[in-house]
Amino acid sequence: MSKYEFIKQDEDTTILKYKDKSFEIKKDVELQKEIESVNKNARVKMMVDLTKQGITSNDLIVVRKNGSKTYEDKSNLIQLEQSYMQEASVDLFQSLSERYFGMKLENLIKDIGLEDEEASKFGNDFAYALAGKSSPSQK
Amino acid sequence: MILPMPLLESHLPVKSSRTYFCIAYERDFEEAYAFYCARYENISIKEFLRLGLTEFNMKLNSIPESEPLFTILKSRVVNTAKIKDKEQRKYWNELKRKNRIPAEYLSTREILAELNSFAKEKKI
Repeated sequence: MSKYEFIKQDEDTTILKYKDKSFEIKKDVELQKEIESVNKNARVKMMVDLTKQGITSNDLIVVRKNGSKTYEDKSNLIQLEQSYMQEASVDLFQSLSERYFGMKLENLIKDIGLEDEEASKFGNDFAYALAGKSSPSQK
Repeated sequence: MILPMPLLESHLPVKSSRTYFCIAYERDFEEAYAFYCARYENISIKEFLRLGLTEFNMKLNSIPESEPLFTILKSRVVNTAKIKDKEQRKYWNELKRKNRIPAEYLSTREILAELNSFAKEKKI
């Protein structure tokens, strides 16, 4: 039996229950607004970091010439941007954990008493709850 | 612990963040809030932020054409190539340009994909 349970209340609300505790997760306008800002925040942070190093995003683009044609290889830029976006996503997850559960994700996992593998599954279920959907593992 | 954010993204109601922007996106936020207050109830911004997304989306379906937000949303999806009247086409092209979602909200990958589809559409 799972140590926790996500119970879908309505289209926008899911309840996390474990031990004798319960928390409401609401998919609201603010949540959507924050999710949409992940890209922007990540890009701004990346630009600030690049500027600190005295380079621009253009320096990450490799330009190749083939006769009269010029090709731009942006794979370095995309890869770096992806890593920033992943970092921004993790930050968002942390802030959402604090908002909904009043504690950091690590503390919540400890509080529920989850092992590593279970914690990963919990992250998955939490993501589904944020999207207002039931996780396949919870069905 | 590996945080499954890519999974979260892929299970959001809309895969691309862009499609949702018209509702809660910072740029449209004021118009969305004004629309809600004018049509439904006069609530504070804080209360508006706490509004369930599905509930708001459903209410947004009844947005009247007279609302500024309606024009913004329409300008993003209208196919100006199909507008025969020259002046009208110019008007909607201008609106489309003005209401375009700023690039900083999109990843380079998304921007490149958009450019690619634009180039294909225009046969560049």
